Amino acid sequence: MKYTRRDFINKSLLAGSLTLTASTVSCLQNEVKSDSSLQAPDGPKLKAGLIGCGSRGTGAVLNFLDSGPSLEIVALGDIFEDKLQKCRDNIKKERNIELDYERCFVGPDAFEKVIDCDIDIVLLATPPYFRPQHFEAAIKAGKHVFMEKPVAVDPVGVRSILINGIRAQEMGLSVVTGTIKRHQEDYKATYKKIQQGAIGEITSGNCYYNQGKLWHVNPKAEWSELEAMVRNWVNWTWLSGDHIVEQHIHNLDLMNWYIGSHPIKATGFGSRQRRVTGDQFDNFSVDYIYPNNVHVHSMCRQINGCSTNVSDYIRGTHGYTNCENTIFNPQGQVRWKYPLNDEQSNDRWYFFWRAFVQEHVDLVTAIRNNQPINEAQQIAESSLTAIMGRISAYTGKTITWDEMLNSEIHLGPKHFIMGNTSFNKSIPTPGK
Amino acid sequence: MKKSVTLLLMIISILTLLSFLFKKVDDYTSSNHYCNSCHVHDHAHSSWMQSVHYYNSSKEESSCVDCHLPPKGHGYYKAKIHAGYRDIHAFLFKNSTEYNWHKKSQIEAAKSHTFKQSCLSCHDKLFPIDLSQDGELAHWHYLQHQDEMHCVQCHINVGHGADAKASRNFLFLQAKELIDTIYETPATIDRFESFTERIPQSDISFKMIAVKDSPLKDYNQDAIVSDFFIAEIETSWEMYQQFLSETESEGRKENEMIDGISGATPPWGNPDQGWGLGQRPAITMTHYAASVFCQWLSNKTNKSYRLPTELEWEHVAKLAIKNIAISDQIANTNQNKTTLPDEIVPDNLGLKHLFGNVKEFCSNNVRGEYIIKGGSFKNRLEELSPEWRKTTHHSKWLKTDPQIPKSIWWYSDCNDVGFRVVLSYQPEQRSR
Repeated sequence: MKYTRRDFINKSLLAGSLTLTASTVSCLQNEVKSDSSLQAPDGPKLKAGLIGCGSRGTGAVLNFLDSGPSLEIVALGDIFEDKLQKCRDNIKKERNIELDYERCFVGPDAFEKVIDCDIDIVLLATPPYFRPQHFEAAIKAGKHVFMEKPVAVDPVGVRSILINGIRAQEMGLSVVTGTIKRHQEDYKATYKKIQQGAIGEITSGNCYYNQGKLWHVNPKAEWSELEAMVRNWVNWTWLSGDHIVEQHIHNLDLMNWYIGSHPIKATGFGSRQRRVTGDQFDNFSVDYIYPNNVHVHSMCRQINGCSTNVSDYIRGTHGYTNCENTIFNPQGQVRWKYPLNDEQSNDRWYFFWRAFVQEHVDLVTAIRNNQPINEAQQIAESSLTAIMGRISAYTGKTITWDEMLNSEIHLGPKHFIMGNTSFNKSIPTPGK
Repeated sequence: MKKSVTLLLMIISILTLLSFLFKKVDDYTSSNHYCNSCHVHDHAHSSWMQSVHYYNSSKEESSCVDCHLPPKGHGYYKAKIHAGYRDIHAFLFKNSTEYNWHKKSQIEAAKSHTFKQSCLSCHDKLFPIDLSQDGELAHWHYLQHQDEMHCVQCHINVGHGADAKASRNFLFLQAKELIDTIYETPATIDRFESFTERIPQSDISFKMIAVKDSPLKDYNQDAIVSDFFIAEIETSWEMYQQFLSETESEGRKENEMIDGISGATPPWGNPDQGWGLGQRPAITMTHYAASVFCQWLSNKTNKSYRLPTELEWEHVAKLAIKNIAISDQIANTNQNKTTLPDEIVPDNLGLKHLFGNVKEFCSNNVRGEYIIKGGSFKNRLEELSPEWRKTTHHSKWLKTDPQIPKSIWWYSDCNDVGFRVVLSYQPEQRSR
């Protein structure tokens, strides 16, 4: 699972601030609340189908099953048989559920067959290139959707998500996406503080997703060119959107969330230094300009042996925050920290792991209480934010939001047919 | 005491009675029967009976006020009083036979007596699942420009008449009827006199009128036009459709030349406005499209057709009305729509529709907007003169076009612009 690679906020910094402000923290202990229940309310049985049976898809199934009573997984679909088999085996191993082979579908049209099953919820976890098509099909079939981030690799895909997001709203369907920070207790509490003016007006931000190289898959003789690409999808821009879209979207989504708007302009740098396969860059640095001339500097890197850092900072007129759990005064002293109980403070990933289930709790709760939630627009905008940064870095040009929203750029094959590909696979050169 | 109770009871019952009466009166005066009792345009009722708002699979019918008054809570009473006053005034003081019903059914007028809120109060879903891709694009465009747009800009025919849903262009691009004569060669010019041009590989011919040179005394000393020819009629649909059918492309960028000339994309909407094709002037093309037409015509005929300069146009216009007035004998200012060349008499030079009918592109521009001359059917007779001069309004004329990028070939929101071709007389360079 790619999330396990995530390196959260610098531990030593956090520990340091804890000792410095021991008295503050102790007096905050009273604030510690018992966690909100990680269970959706009971109700009529809800059946789900998974499209995209990789590790994240399998994980999403388990998170869904854990999120409340009377929840079932009944159908699986993937392009590749081996992926589907592995997913089916893991669900058996983890939850002792054996899926009926009649509802396990393989091939490029597997998604249609899953949607055609008698299900209420579709879980979309394929590489992002496929998301717009699958989302449209799911919504038009009247299904609630959980979809992983990002939701598109190009502006044409983003528009499709936006349109079908509105359609979902009109049909009373719920849509939840995998930008977990928005479902994570400590982030949500910090967000609320910032909304209440804890750091004054937001003036700037920084966000980082600097990590090592991700995996790659070398082509095999028995695979067609397209199959080899799909199996190696995190290295091809048309499938993943490049890592600024695929990974860094978590941070960019957070910036959009906290600032309350998408950026209006971006100027980005980027290059490819040590990537092994595919056509992507391995580093980006983008200056995003939000309304009121608020600048956010974003950087992301996937190169081994370099400093790593995955974090966010937002600065305001009266202080700054790490967005996750702490608010500082302008001098860098902790002014507020999300209060933790013993269990929480002993488990660094406590809220992180809960958030994966919380997404599904929120989805199931919305469905059962008949109070639809719809995250399509926010995730579409975050995806487009990242795409804008990528295109700016690829072209070397400053790119505006309106250009992106109205762009006809569409990546990858027009029709997805296994075999050799004919589209351009050269690595972008800025300024050309 | 008893008195006051009685009084109170009386007041209450009177108020109840009044509100009951008010409701009755309001209902009655909003009924179709009431509208039709003095509305003199019978065809409004009969054409409504043909429309989808009366005759549809849902068996729901909309009454007059459902569309022609806003819904309650959106200025219903204000609009009703306004409409009532207007109707009574018209009933008492105006002659209904003098109304221009056609004009009132055009988009500009329809916007003022059909309420967007009324459309939306029933059509609450912008993206129903059976919406076509074109429809999605159009509604997406609407969403981004809600303040400037009205449903009737595309759906002008849905309330009256049998035209379904949005204005479409299905008929427009259908193949022409069988052709009798096909010209093999273009005309040759032997001397400076009017001639009939033939478009090779088509059955289309048109007259070119010789216009003597002249120093133009009204302008400065250097302003001279040389001998040239000008088309007898405004470029007709049959000429323009020939151009489209030979060059039609998917090209959306200017100067994108494939096999010589890359022509217009299919139009959005119905460019002939349902008025008919044939000899009727072609309209709604952009200046760029008109220029490409000239280029195509030049290639076909081995000549150098082009748009007139403003000087040339005015020179012709002055000769054309020498000693005669601009009257409805020679100009179409019917306020409704274009007319056929046969419906008027030629002017002094033998030209048709130089004034009125459609305003004509010239080759020069003012700050990027091209000069248009001659006025159109929308002008009043007394406004027209050789000096009448306006310019294009490129972005305003493309407001409804939902395509991204907008068409470079068709104006979506200007239905009274066209052009007329000219040809310089070059005695030394006769047709090869």
